[in-house]
Amino acid sequence: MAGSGNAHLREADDALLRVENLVVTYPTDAGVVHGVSDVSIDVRRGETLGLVGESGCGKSTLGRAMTMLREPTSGRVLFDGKDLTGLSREGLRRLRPRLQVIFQDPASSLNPRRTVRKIIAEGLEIWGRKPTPEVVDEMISAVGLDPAVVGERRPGQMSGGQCQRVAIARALMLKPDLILCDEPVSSLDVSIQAQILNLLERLRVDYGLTLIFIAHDLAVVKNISDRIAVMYLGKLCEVAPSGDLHRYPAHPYTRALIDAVPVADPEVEIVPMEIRGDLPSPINPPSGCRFRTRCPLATDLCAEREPEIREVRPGHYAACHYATTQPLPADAPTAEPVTV
Amino acid sequence: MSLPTKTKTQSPPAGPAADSDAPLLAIEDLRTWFDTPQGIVHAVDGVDLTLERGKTLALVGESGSGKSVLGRSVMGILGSHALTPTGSVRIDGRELRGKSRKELRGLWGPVVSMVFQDPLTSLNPVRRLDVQLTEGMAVHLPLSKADRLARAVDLLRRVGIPEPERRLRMYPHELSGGMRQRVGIAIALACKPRLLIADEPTTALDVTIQRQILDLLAELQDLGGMGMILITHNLGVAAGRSDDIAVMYAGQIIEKGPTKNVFKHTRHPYTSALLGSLPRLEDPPHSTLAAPPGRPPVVVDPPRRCRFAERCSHAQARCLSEAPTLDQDTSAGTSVACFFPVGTGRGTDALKRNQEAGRTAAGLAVERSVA
Ligand SMILES: Nc1ncnc2c1ncn2[C@@H]1O[C@H](COP(=O)(O)OP(=O)(O)OP(=O)(O)O)[C@@H](O)[C@H]1O
Ligand SMILES: Nc1ncnc2c1ncn2[C@@H]1O[C@H](COP(=O)(O)OP(=O)(O)OP(=O)(O)O)[C@@H](O)[C@H]1O
Ligand code: SF4
Ligand SMILES: [Mg+2]
Ligand SMILES: [Mg+2]
Repeated sequence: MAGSGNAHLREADDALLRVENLVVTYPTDAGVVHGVSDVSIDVRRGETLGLVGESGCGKSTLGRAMTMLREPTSGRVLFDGKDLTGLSREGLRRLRPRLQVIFQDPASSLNPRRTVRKIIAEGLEIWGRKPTPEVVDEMISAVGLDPAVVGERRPGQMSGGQCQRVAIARALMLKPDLILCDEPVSSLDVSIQAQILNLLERLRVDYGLTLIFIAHDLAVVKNISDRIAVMYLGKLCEVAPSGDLHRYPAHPYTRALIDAVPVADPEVEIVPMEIRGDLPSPINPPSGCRFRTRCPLATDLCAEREPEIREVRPGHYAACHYATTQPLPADAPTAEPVTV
Repeated sequence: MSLPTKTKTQSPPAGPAADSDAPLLAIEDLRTWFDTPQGIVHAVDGVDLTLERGKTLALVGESGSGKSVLGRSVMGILGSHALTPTGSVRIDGRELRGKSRKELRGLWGPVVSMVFQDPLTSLNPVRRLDVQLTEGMAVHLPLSKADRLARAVDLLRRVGIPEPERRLRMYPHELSGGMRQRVGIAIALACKPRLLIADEPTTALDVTIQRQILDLLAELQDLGGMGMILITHNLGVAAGRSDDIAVMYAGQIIEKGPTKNVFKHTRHPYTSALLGSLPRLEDPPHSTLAAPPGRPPVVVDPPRRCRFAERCSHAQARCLSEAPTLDQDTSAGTSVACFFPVGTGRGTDALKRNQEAGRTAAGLAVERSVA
């Protein structure tokens, strides 16, 4: 396997949401898919946790298990200190308003036959709390739309960015504690993406929200997150404060990801990237460290033993036998020597 | 706006360049319009471009700005709703406008080839990959069957497809979306095109695979002198991989020039807004992004005015009554279509006036400057 351990978890009391040793598998005809394998992570109230990694690495699976949209195969999901994995259907249903979700393709997650006003009100109506028209229109304005213009439109009559705003408004109506945002800006143009990122940031502050934000674009994740977890083939590679990750990447996979990001500046030289190829099959993940088949640093040790996640600088964790914090400024703390 | 329809048949299209002094690609005043229930959509509305051999021109702009239609206009694949395009498209000095479908087909592959934005449109669902990869080669390259297959395997390997020999016997539906996109690229490269139109060739791919593909394309250009139009909405890809860049907005090119100049001396308020809206790794977390308000228009019956005016913080009365043309800006070394460009005296004054008024001539609210 590749990257277990709980060194990066913080005081349980500080976490709004904390998952421990989460495993999610998908039984398929071809074999058991290891979607998420023994992942622990926490999110503090008011914090934004970013999840990044390549397509198929398990970001959505982890996000869904963290919010109990999919029951994990094993592990615990502690929300406000309470384990949700034992909850009855009804117990979960009661909790749902507090844990909301926004998806990548807003148009398909909105009912095409209902108007914007109805869509935004419907979440609350399920709970028998019909909001007044004023409250609904206020929410439409809060996400930057004009209720007089879009209030009676249906999803098909709006752009992707407008639909995403409606999805956000619908989630906010329920006064959630936490919103899982699964690639909410990935299909939008950069100017619209920037509008939505700014909006989410403003709403997070105004409504005191906690966010889990999934994206494959490292710069987008960095912009919105306080803490970033980098995933690889169902495992965590690195967990770091958002401001630190790209400056001091400790895991060779994180470094490769950063090197591969195209920079919008023609003066910046394109540095050679050290990894090749695709993610290996999640049905037969490599032994030891799951990244070893593409890793430029891999040795026999990496095939034999799975690296434990460990602190490489204060608050910065990586799961690699050869994790490094190079290049570091002269006054920065150095990593622990590798103990085998 | 002339409509040259000379259909004189010439030497075989795959042969040597008709005019070796002419640029690889020259587009003049190209207009491609569509007849739709909403009206005539001016998808490409007066575009001029040239591309030299071995060079890359990045075509950037947001969704609906006309990038794909421009690429498909060069290929001559537009569909039944398109009105006959006007203007001129020349490859190696040879006019393509007015050529018959059959004549164009003879050019597809060795002369010009396209990676389609949606890989499913370029792949035939009921034919195996080996057939799709080698059929063009059989017509255009002097290779034996075994050599064609070997080349197909090599191409698949180079676009990063694992176990290429095994994949050759597969059908498109047996591949993931990212794999299909890479197969589309391999097919486009199969006959060694002189001009490649790559329409978002790496959008569905992870950054690590994107990097591999972009490196491969650059290598092919160095080796074979292939020219490339790289269509992308990713300004990072455009910055790192192009010699020249053209920014499209609402069917027109609003800024173009050597990539370095356009990034260093950005003049058009739209280009500047696009760059400002990009999150950057160097910026601290939670930085507010400078997002231009609103969204790009669909161009039906364009009025005589700047098409960006509603969203532009520089807009003045003139922008609402007159359409700016793409003119040279010698201080930047680029061309720009704007009356009040960023980084010029006129532009700075215009922005200042709007900031003092709290709004632009088009009524857009602008943050008031503190006097
Ligand atoms: N319902 C399912 N049945 C079987 N396998 C699944 C299912 N959902 C996901 N998987 C597999 O689990 C792994 C993780 O998928 P997941 O969707 O979580 O990845 P992701 O990181 O969100 O990818 P993307 O960036 O493409 O959204 C992948 O190998 C995927 O194919
Ligand atoms: N076959 C068609 N019939 C009618 N309108 C069309 C057709 N093809 C394109 N258009 C319109 O022409 C305009 C330009 O479309 P085009 O596909 O070139 O945009 P683009 O810049 O490639 O956008 P994207 O980044 O989303 O790919 C759009 O308004 C589009 O709706
Ligand atoms: S200043 Fe005027 S001409 Fe220039 S982009 Fe703005 S609106 Fe258009
Ligand atoms: Mg996902
Ligand atoms: Mg397109």
